[in-house]
Amino acid sequence: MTPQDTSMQLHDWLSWRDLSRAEVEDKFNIAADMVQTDTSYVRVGGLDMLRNRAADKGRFYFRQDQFVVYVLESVGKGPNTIPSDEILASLGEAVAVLPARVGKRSKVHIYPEQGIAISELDHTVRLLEIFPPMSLAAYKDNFYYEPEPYIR
Amino acid sequence: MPSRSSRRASKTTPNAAFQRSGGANSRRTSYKYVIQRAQANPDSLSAEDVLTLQRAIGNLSTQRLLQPKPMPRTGDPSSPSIQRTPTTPSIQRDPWEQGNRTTGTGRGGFQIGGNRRWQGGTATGGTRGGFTIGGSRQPATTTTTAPTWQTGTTTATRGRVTLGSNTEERQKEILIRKIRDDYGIDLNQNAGVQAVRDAYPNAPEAVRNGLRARAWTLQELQDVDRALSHYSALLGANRPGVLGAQPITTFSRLEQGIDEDTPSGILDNTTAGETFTNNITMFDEGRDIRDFAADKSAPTADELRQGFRGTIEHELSHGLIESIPVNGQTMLEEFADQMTFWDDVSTCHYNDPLRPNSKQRRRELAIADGAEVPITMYGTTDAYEDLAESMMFYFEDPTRLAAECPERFAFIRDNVQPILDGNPIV
Repeated sequence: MTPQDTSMQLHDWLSWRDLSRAEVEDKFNIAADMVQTDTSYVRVGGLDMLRNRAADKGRFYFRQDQFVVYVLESVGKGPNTIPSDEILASLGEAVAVLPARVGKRSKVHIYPEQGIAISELDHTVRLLEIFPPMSLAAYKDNFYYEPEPYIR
Repeated sequence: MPSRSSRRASKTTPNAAFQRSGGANSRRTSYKYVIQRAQANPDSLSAEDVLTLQRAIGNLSTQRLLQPKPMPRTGDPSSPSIQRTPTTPSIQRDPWEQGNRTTGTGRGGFQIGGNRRWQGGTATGGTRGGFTIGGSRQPATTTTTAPTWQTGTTTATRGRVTLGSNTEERQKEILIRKIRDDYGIDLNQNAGVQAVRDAYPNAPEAVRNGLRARAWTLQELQDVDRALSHYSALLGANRPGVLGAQPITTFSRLEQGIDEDTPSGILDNTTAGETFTNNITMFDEGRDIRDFAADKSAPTADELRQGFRGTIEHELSHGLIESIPVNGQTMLEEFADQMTFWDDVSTCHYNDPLRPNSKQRRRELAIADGAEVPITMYGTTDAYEDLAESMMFYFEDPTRLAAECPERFAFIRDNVQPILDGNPIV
């Protein structure tokens, strides 16, 4: 992924939070059987999860018609690898950097007022979260938990 | 679910090697005879002799074949042991190495294969009666970069180190060479120290400087060799070109790792092994893994050894299996897709918003839903660890994995095993 690709992709991701549920279903061809109801994401319950793997590897969480968070995960190796250095540089200094839940040495760079958090490991994005702008405390209350120690 | 015998049938077993070489007795006689003849007259060895030795070392039960022999008495002039005195040449010490180094004169040393390229510090000394099989003959006095070791048979006093078993030393050298030649893996302590230092740049410098190498024991090297043998289709010359460069090229053994990459990071006693870019490092804690112990409060030596070997197999899953392409994504993503326990590689389907970091709660919710749970509590961390733990049990206790986690067993059987058997990656 080139820096231009990265910048465009980041713009796309951020724009998706402005889509209504109907627009998401339409844009990503999400059929009824691609919706998982009454589920949760981290500390937020009562959500519906929408995902069509063929259209996009990420998943959208809505509370009824209200967008809550878009989540994209990557192994950090193979064809879907997303380099993290350029994205992080383009976002500037994070409000907080905390241990992430995607590996022992991973860190989540939190930009709550921009509505984005990136968990990276070995210079690759492992977990991307796009959400409505909020405070750091609100992010922690909704989407963060401190991982337990990795032993191997 | 396949029978264990069907899976074994695809592998080269010790018994199969026995049969090819004419049975247990003839083979045992053969390799010992070759060694005796080589010690008497190195120039008498034939290519067949070399093959016999390689077969004995590589294919047969290394645990049995390479058992260390009793430590000879120090000072016995007939002893093959190496005696170190203050008058022997000094050792160029490796700053990372803590194990005792040896320098001096060895007798009857031999070498299989090409020129040695050992890891670790440099030892200078003479070799008497040394010979080389299949490689260049070493001069009577030579300088080599020697492997390091630290075993219960090595004793040290101020200015004097006695290596208890020259045989064990050679067995280690042979294994180190085999691992390098067969699997493209260098056993390199410095690589591990550097890997940890690089991966924990925010830990205090004093902590990063406190990393210490631990010399491999013979038993550990045997376990490294055996663990690597499971993944041999992905290593060295066997590695399919479509997978690109081999991602793991060095193995290291350190006393401790670092617990977190922050200014609060300390040398830790909880990490058993860790996979880095190009490197896998095993730590002392790896010798206390009790997943295979019938009584976890009193594990046997064999069970702990299984835990150490299983940890290597676990790390190799991180390093070699996760990124293999399958169905347009990685093996790990495919695994997470197929296991109902996971919504994605780092997100559990069975999440309690009130306790999102509770592994126990995840398992309770999954069991209540009739879903299969990971084989270990640690595997409940995320799909990375789940697959790695499943791989560990697939090799070390497949019966238990098949019984307790049939979906995971079937996933490995159907998706990973064919690749480990050398089938093309599509």
